[in-house]
Amino acid sequence: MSAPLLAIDHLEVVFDTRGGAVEAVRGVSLAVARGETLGLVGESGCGKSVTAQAVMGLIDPPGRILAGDIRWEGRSLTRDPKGWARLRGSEIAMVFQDPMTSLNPLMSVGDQIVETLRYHKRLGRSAARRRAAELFGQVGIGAPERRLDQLPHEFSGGMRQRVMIAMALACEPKLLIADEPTTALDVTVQAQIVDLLNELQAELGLAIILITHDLGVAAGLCRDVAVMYAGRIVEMGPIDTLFAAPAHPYSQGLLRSTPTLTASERRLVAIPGAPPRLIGPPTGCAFLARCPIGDEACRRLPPLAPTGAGGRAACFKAGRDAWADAREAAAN
Amino acid sequence: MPEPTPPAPTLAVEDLAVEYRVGQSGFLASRQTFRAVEGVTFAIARGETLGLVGESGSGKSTVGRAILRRAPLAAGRVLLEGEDISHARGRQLQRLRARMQLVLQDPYASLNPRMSVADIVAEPLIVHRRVASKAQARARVAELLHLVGLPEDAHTRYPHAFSGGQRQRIGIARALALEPPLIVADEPVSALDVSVRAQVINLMQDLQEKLGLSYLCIAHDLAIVRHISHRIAILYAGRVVEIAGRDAIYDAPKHPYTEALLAAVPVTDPAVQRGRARAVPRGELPDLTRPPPGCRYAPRCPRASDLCHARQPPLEAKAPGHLAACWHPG
Ligand SMILES: Nc1ncnc2c1ncn2[C@@H]1O[C@H](COP(=O)(O)OP(=O)(O)O)[C@@H](O)[C@H]1O
Ligand SMILES: Nc1ncnc2c1ncn2[C@@H]1O[C@H](COP(=O)(O)OP(=O)(O)O)[C@@H](O)[C@H]1O
Ligand SMILES: [Mg+2]
Ligand SMILES: [Mg+2]
Repeated sequence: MSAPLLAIDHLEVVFDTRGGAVEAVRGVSLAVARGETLGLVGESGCGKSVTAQAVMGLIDPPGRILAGDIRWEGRSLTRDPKGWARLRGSEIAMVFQDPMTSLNPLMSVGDQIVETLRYHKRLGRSAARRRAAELFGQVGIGAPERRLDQLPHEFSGGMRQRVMIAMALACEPKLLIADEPTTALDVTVQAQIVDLLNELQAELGLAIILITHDLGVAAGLCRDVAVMYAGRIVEMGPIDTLFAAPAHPYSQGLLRSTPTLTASERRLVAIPGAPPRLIGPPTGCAFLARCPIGDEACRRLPPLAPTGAGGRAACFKAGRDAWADAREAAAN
Repeated sequence: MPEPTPPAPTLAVEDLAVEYRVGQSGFLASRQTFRAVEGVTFAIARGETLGLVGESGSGKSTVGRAILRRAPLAAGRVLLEGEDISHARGRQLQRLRARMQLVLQDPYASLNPRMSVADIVAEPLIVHRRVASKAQARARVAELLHLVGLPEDAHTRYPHAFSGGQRQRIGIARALALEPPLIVADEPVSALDVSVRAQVINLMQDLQEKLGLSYLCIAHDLAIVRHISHRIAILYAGRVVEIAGRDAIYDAPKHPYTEALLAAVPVTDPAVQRGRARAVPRGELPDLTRPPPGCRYAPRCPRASDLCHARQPPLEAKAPGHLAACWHPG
C-alpha cells in the first residue's frame, strides 16, 4: 500500500503563555489520501485551526510542536523544514475564514495571483495573467478580465472567498485545507461556496480538509469526518455512518443540538456546561464533566477504538444513547 | 354590547423607513442618502416572538435600532404598548429605554471587562433609580442571576471568567433588570457554539413563559429561529417580503427568497445535503442607493417575469395570516 498524501501522527502542540502551557492539540493522528475529503469538526477552541497550522508548518512561538510527526507522501516534514516551506502554498494550500487577512488591500487581485504564479510556477507575465483569468472562470467569477484589475474591497464576501480559492488553486495543490471558509458568509452564499468546492474536488481530484463548526456544511462536502474535543479526536469515520449513528456522547450531543428545519421537539437539546480549559486539562476523558453517562471509569483516558460501523470512538460506553433521558424531557 | 377593545400589541411598527447618508461623513461628504429599510410593518403580541430573518445587509439591525429609537426614523411609526414613541425625546425617551432592551450578538464586546457581574447587572437599576439601597440592588441582582441560571458566586467575578454562553446569560440578566415588556435580540446566539446556542435559546423561551416577554429575535438564517419564533418575517434589501406563522414559513413558503433561504440551510444528513437541488440564487443584494424599480429580488429570482422587473409587488395576504410580496407566489 502506498503512503497516504498526508499523515499526522500523535501530534501535540502547546502554547506557552503566562497562565501556563495551553495544550491545544493533545495527540491527534489522522491520514488523508489523494482525493479524499475530510471534515474536521468540533466547537471553538478544540484545536482544529492549530492542527491545520501545524500541517502548514505555521506554528510560531509561543507555540511549539511538542511531539508527533507530520508526513507528506511518506516523508517526515517535521525533520525537513526546507522541504516543508516548499510544499506550503504549492502542494498544500489553505483558505481562511476571513479572506481580507490574506489579501493585500492595496494591490489588484489579478496582480496578487500573477505574482503567486510567477513565483511558484515560473510563468511569464502574460501567461500568468491568462492563467489567472482561467482560474477566475473556474471558481465562478464572471467577467474575469475586468475583475482581475479590481481591489479586494470591490468584491463581496462571497466573491472574495472565490478569489482566495482561485489563488489557492493557482499552484495546482494536491491538498486544500479550508478553515471555516463559509463561516462569515450568508447561508445562500455559503451554499454556493460548498457547491464550488464540490465541483472543484470532483474536477481536479483534490484532497480537502474542511474545518468547520457547522456539521451541515461538512455533510455537504466530506466523505469522512473527525470530531475533535479539547485537543483530541473523540470520534472519526465515514460521515454517513457517523452522522446517522454517532457513537460518542459528544458527537451525539453535537448532532442533536444542531437545529433542523423539521424536528418536532419544542425545545432544542443543549449540551450543558462548556469545554474544559486547556491549561492543565483533565487527564481522562475531557468530556466527562458534561457527559450524561460518564462515571468513575472515565477518569482514565478511553482509547480511540473501532466502533464496528467502520469508525472509531474514544469512549468506554461508545454506542450507547447518552441523551435518551434529555430527549424524553424535551418532548414534554 | 360593544366589543371589548383588544389589548394593544407590545410592539407595533407601521410603515417604518430609515435613511442613512452614503459614504463617510465630513465637510465635503456627499449628501446622498439611501433607505436601508422601507415600508416595514409588523406587530408583536404580548408573550410572542417574531423572528426577523434576512442576509447580512438586509436591514435587520437597522429595524431593531429604529424600534429602540437608536436610529432615526425617516418615515413611519413605532408604538410600544399602544403608545406612539416615534417622536419621544429627552426624559420620555429615557423612560422608554427602560421598557425595551437590547441583547447583542457578541457577549464579549457588549460587557465592560472592568466591571464585576454584579455591577454590570445592577447598572440599569441604578441609572433608572429602581433601587433605594445597595442591599436592595444586591438582592435584585441575586434574583436576576438565579433567573438566568448563573451560579450564586457569579456576582463577584468578571466577564472574562465566563464562557460565551454564560456571558450571554449575563447580558440577558442585565436586559431583564428593569422588567421590560420587549427585548430586541440581535443575533443573540450567532457567535456561540451550537451546543451552547441551544442553552441560550431554551433560556429565552423559559423566561418568556415566566415573564410574558415579547421578543424580536433577529437572525441571518432560518434554522436558529425556528424553535423560538411564533411568527417569522423575512427581510430582503430593506423590505419585508414575507411574514407568516412559523409553520407556514417552513412548510409552505410563498416567496422565492424564503424558499432559497430554506434550501440553503445546511442539514446534518449527508445524503440529503449532497442530493439537494439547490434553489440557491446567484448574485447578491442590490445596491440600495439605486434600488431596482420593480421587485428588489427580481434580479436574482428564478421566477421573475417582466411584471416583476417593472412593478414592486405589494405585501398582501396570500393565505389567512400569511403575507407575501410576490407577483408569482409559491
Ligand atoms: N497563539 C496562541 N496562543 C495561545 N493559545 C492559543 C494560540 N492559538 C491557539 N491557542 C489556543 O489553542 C486552542 C485551540 O485553538 P484553535 O485550534 O484555534 O481552536 P479551533 O478549534 O476553534 O480552531 C484554544 O484553546 C486556543 O485558545
Ligand atoms: N450607521 C450607518 N450608516 C450608513 N449605512 C449604514 C449604517 N448602518 C447600517 N448601514 C447600512 O444599511 C444596510 C443595512 O444594515 P444592517 O441593518 O446592519 O443590516 P443587517 O443587520 O441585516 O446585516 C447596509 O447596507 C449597511 O451597510
Ligand atoms: Mg479555528
Ligand atoms: Mg445586523
